[in-house]
Amino acid sequence: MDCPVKYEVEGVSIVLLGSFNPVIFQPAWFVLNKILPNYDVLEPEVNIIHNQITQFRLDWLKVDVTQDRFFSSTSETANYTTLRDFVVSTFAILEHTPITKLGVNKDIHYRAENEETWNKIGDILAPKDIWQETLREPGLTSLKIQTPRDDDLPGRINVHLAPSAQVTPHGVFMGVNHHIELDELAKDDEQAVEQLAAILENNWDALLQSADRIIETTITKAIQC
Amino acid sequence: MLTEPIALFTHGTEPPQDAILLNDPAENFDAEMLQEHNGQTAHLESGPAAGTGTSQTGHPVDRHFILPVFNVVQSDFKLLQLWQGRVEKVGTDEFVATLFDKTHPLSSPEQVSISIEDVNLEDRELLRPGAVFYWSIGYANYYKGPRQRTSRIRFRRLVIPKRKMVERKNAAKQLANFFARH
Repeated sequence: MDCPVKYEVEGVSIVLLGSFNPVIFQPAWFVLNKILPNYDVLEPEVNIIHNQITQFRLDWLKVDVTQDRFFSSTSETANYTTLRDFVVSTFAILEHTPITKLGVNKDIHYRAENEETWNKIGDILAPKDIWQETLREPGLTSLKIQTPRDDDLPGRINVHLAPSAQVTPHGVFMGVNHHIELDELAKDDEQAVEQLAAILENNWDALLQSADRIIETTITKAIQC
Repeated sequence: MLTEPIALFTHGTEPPQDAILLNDPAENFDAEMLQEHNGQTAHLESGPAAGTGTSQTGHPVDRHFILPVFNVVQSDFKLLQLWQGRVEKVGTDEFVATLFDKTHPLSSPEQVSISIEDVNLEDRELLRPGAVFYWSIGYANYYKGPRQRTSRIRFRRLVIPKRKMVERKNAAKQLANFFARH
C-alpha cells in the first residue's frame, strides 16, 4: 500500500562547531565577498551583530553564529543546495577557521490524520506496557536514537522524535542529525575546511536522501501503512 | 542503548532548539530583547496542581505532557518543480542550457532555450558557458494569499578558496610554459 508521507513544515540546516568571530557574519560581508547577491539582502531582518553573537534572517536563509557555533538554515526546498553553496563559499573565504564538527540536519513537522494515529505513533515507537506498571498515563515527550554512520565518514547519526508544538493538533516533529567529526579527518584547520567543502559537495544529496529515508520509513511503519 | 553519554547531545551539531547561551553575561547585551524576539523561553511552564497547563506556544496541554519547541520557520514558497541547469551557449536574447530534473531524478536531461530576460540583472554577470543555475517553479505567498505561481532562476555562487585559485593559476602557467617551449 502506497502511503506518501507529506510534511507540513520541513527545513535543512548546517551546523558547524569550532571557533568563530560572530561580528564578521553580517549580510553586507556576504555580498562583498560575492557569496550572496545583493537582491538577497535588500530587506534583512537583523536581530543582532555583536562579538558574541550574530543573528539575521533573509527571505530564504537564517544565520545564527556564536563564538563556538555556526548555524545556517533554510525551509525553502528550492534553496537546500544554495544553503550548501553558501556554507562552502563562506569557509572558502575564511579558510583558516578552526572547525571541528559538521552537522547536516533535516527537520520535519508531520501532521497525523487524527488523534488515534498520533497516539499510535508514540505507542509503537515507545511502547507503554512497562511504564504503565509504575506510571499513570505515561506519554512520549521526546525520543532520541543514535547509530554509527554507515558510510566512511567518522561520526554518527542522531534521530530525534517528539510531539510537535509547531504543528497542532496531532503534529509530530522528527529531526535527523548527520554528525561528522571533521577533526578526525584533518591534521590542521586548513585541511578541516577542505574536508568540509569536499563532504558538502560530494555527499550532500546522499545525506539528505538518507535523512528522508529515515523519516519516511519511521513514520510509515509507525502509522502501519 | 546509547553509545555515548546523553550530555553530548547538548554540544552536538543538531540545530539549536532553545535559548541562546552567552559566554560572557557581563557584556552589554540585551538578552531579554533577543529572547523575546525569538519567542524562546529558558524554562518550561509548570502547570497548576490539577487541571491543564499551557505550553510555550500557548496551546493547552495535559499537565503530564510538556511539548518541546523545535521550530522550523515555515517557508511561504511551495515548490512544485526544481531543475538544476548548466549553461551550454549564450546568445543575444536567449541562452541554451541542459536541465537536470531534481524533482523527478529519473527523468532524462533536457536541452532548452531560456530568455535572458528571465535572469535577474545581478545574476547576468554569471551567465556564461558552464555556469550552474537552479530553476524553481512554485507558489509564492502560499500561506498568506493571494497565491502567485512563480518561476525563479538563481545562479550558483561558489567561491573557490584563494589557495586553490593560486594552485590553478600556477598549473595553467606551467602548462603554458610547456607548450611555449615545445
